Amino acid sequence: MLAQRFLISILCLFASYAWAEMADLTESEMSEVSGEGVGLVYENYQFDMKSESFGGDTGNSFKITGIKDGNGDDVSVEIGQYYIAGSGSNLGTSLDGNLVNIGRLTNPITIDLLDGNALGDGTDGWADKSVLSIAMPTQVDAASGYHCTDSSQGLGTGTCSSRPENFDGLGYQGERFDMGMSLNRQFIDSNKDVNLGFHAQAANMDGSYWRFWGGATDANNDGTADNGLQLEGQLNFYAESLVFNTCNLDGSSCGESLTMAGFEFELALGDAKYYQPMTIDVTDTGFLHIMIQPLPAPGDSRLPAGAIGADGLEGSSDAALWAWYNDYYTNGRKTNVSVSDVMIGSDSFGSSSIQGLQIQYLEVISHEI
Amino acid sequence: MRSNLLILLLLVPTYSLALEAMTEDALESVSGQNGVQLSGELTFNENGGPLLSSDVGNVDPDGAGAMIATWGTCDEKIAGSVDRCGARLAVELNDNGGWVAWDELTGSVSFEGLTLRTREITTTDSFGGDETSADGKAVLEIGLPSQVKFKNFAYDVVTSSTGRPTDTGYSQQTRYGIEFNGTVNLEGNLLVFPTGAP
Repeated sequence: MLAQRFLISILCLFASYAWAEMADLTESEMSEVSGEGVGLVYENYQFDMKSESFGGDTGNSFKITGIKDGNGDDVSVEIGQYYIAGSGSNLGTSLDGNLVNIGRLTNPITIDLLDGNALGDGTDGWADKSVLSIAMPTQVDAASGYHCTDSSQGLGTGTCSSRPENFDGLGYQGERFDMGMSLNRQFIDSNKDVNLGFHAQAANMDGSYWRFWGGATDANNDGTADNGLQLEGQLNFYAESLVFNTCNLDGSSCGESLTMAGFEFELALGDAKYYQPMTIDVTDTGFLHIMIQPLPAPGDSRLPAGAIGADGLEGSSDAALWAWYNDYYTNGRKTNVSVSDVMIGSDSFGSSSIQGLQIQYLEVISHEI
Repeated sequence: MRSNLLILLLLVPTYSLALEAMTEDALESVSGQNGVQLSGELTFNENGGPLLSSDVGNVDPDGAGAMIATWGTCDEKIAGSVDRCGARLAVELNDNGGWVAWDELTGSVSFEGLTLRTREITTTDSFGGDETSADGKAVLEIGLPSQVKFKNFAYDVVTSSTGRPTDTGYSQQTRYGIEFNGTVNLEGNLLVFPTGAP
């Protein structure tokens, strides 16, 4: 009892002698505090895994499981080799000292919390959302960027911030990586075993991002809160060339390659501004359910009131609503894929591209087979 | 004896001071110990578990087939007397949005030479010219271990209706799994630093 009383007096003394205290920040001090995100740069980076059958260390075996063939038998998928290295790895065969940076100190990979009202105009689909963003280096003005796929071009030739190896003749390793994976699929009947290789050369993912938000929001405005994670994704992948090939199961004697030169892939998933977030959830039976929410139809309370005329023209429609759809088709997020040259072996099949694809609705549910 | 102690304690508070800013001169004389090197081995549920098949409540609730225990050792799983072995890390996508889980996590990961230190970018660094504008930037440098070794390291990525396999209404689908043995080579540093938000 005595000890307790003393303890209390001691605690009182501590309080009275503490000279520091939490003080309010002034307005001017507050204005200097900004939310900080995290920047990440991989410096002199290389990743390499190689199974024993591909010439890796004894005992190396990297398997992907859970894949079955039509008879329900397990298909063993072994990763023969997987690598991320600097440009010029020659399909993963010359990795020694071939390093790369991913992200730049002035334009890193970022993990950040963003304000939805700043991403949109405060009244659109972004309004009042707190968004977790994971983003690759951004794209920049053409004056300060580099051509996204052609590594031979210098400053001012494109919008990619990641620089090719030896850009502007400086001899620097740059920020474009070679990445590849060689898979061996082994069936119960070993005569069916195949090797498949995929290699990206001098690639970058500038401008890619994933933005996540959640909460019990009503994604499709049907009056009930929707479950599931909501997100908007931009997946950009640029490569000087993509190479697909097939080799022996030990990586030797590769056949002719399918090469896609000047590969540009810009996939837009979801469009939160126009109330089309992508949602991911899991059904009661454990299946994966992915949606890109449908584009709101006229009459939806989130859109300007009115109707669109039968002929779809501005004159027969309510102007504000027509302008909303016009804005969506003009400025909405679009998917583009282009290849400047498709080659099989040394035969050229020319270029191909898909431009301006807009996804108005997507629903995918996995099923057991 | 006790009163002496109390007097001592009473004296202590009178010397407590607020944190004060250091002067430039004082700061210059402080040098941080530069970093740590970490080596380690992380082993998850090598023999299975985390529960024993005999533990109370460890029974598969789905009622499909025989009511066998959910968790047990991997030997018991092979023998068919339990449903699973290994750890489970589950993340709920949103309120009632279902779960994504890393399931039946077993095996070990070991590494040597993971380093952690703070570093100041200077103009002598090589970042293809970026070091000039980033001169003086302080970063956390995570030196990646040159080798990471996996031993019977395996997990399944699954989508599941409930967080735990013993919850009512549990239903789960395996998306894919991995099974790693051997050495992976990693080179380089991961630099971590704050960036101003827009």
